[in-house]
Amino acid sequence: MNIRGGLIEWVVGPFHSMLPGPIRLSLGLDGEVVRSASTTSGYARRGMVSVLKRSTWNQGIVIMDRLDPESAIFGEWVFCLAAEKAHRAEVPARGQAIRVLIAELSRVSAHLHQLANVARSAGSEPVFHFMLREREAVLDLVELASGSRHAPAFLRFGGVREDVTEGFLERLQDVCQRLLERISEYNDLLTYNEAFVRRVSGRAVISRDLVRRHGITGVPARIFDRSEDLRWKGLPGYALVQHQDLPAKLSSGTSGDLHQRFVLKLQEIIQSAHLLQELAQHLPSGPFRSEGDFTRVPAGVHFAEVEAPRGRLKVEIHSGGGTTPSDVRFVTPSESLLAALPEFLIGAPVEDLELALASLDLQVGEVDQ
Amino acid sequence: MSRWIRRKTGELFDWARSSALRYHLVRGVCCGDEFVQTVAARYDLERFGAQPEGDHRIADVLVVLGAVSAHAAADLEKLYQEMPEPKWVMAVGTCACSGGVFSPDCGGEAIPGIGSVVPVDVFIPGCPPRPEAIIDGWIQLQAKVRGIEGPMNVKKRRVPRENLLEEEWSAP
Repeated sequence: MNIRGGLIEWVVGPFHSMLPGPIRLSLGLDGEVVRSASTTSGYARRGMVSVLKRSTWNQGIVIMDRLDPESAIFGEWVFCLAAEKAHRAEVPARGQAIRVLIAELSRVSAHLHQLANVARSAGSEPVFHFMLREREAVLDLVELASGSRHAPAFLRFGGVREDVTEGFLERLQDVCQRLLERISEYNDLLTYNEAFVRRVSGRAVISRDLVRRHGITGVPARIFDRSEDLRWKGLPGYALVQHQDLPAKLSSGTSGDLHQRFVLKLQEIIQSAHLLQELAQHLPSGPFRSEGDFTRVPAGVHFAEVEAPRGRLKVEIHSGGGTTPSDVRFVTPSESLLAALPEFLIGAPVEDLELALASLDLQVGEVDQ
Repeated sequence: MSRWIRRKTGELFDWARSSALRYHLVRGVCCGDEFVQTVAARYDLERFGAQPEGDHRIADVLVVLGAVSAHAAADLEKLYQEMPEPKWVMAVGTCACSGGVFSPDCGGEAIPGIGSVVPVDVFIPGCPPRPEAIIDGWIQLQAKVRGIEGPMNVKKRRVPRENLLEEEWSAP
């Protein structure tokens, strides 16, 4: 409280090193505690939809890479799925398997980046560097397959651009094996570290109520309901692998605090690594792309969704039967997180703000498009 | 004599400053991902003396990552004006350099290159640029801080004419 008895106004942003992206936060502080918060977005607006409308369907895949640059492949994937539904095109088993390989690698890389951010915000610089070291290995694999580290432009309507490179699967096995070994290092350094547990447990809570009211998907929702995952609900490609069960409950209960989300993300990385290993062992043979003319998409409105690292990514493409989309609409996982952000921050002390924002895993570019 | 001393002192200051540049990150949308990897262990930008700085009011270099929306152009300009002299700006990514696929020419709403808002010293194109490209950009920036235009090794190296082709082939 200031001398007049009201709240102190603190405006952060749009460019601030604490923030996950260009966004403006208006906070009302009572001493050291946030009592009111509101957000202004739109600073990251690039006009994604109007660019998509001006590009052909195949160019659209490349634009969709930039929807969420950390997990670019999921933007491509959901766009391709929607177009394939319109064409009623079947993707060959090998094509689907390669899609899953790249997508899971992306998921591991996005999770590692986010956990690294949490580690750095909690004050652990070494773990930040360790996690990004693993991420380099994963990005190298994506580069080996697609030629680019972050924006692969790898999927095509009806399959993938090219077959896996020679030596890719062997290297994938190595990287997964090393990842699984190193996860135990992270557990020693952070997960079971007394200092870290005390710093984060009970902080930055995303409660069941918040999840339900704002429609949050992804890891915050999976804390409460493990079946909240599209991958095991008929997302094409995942039928090729055995469902690797996550532990039904975390030992520390289900309050949805930062520590639990951290642990669940680590477990999802382990799950993805097992999944990748299994898929690399039994990669189906055959063609990797179905033949056909995909320069036009049949007229109508077509919908598709995938389970991206941050949550459920949905897209609706409107086609007039021509060579360009007439409209594209997104529902991105970060939208619901941004909607929940003011409520999420209220009651947090100022010292926790950076940690809370890092743990929220918000991608502003995805919201503003 | 005094002019000579002044010039030499200035050169000494520039040389010292170039290896202790503190940068402030302006996260546009993409490219931040690749910059983080550049800072991380394998590429390790810090060996060039680059230090992250949270407060732009005491930073030397403004690193703009990726597309800056037209809605945020005024904020970027304000950020630049609040930095103390001497200051430099680095544009990372095609979107920051020219607007890229999100420039108004392609129907996007990003500003067509941050050069129209703030004076840029180093442009690093790429979508996103590889860490090697970012490191190269940083070395060019250091050369500029030292008062040498262009990369240092090019200016100092003397190559006999007849060996030029061979030299190019064997260049790393």
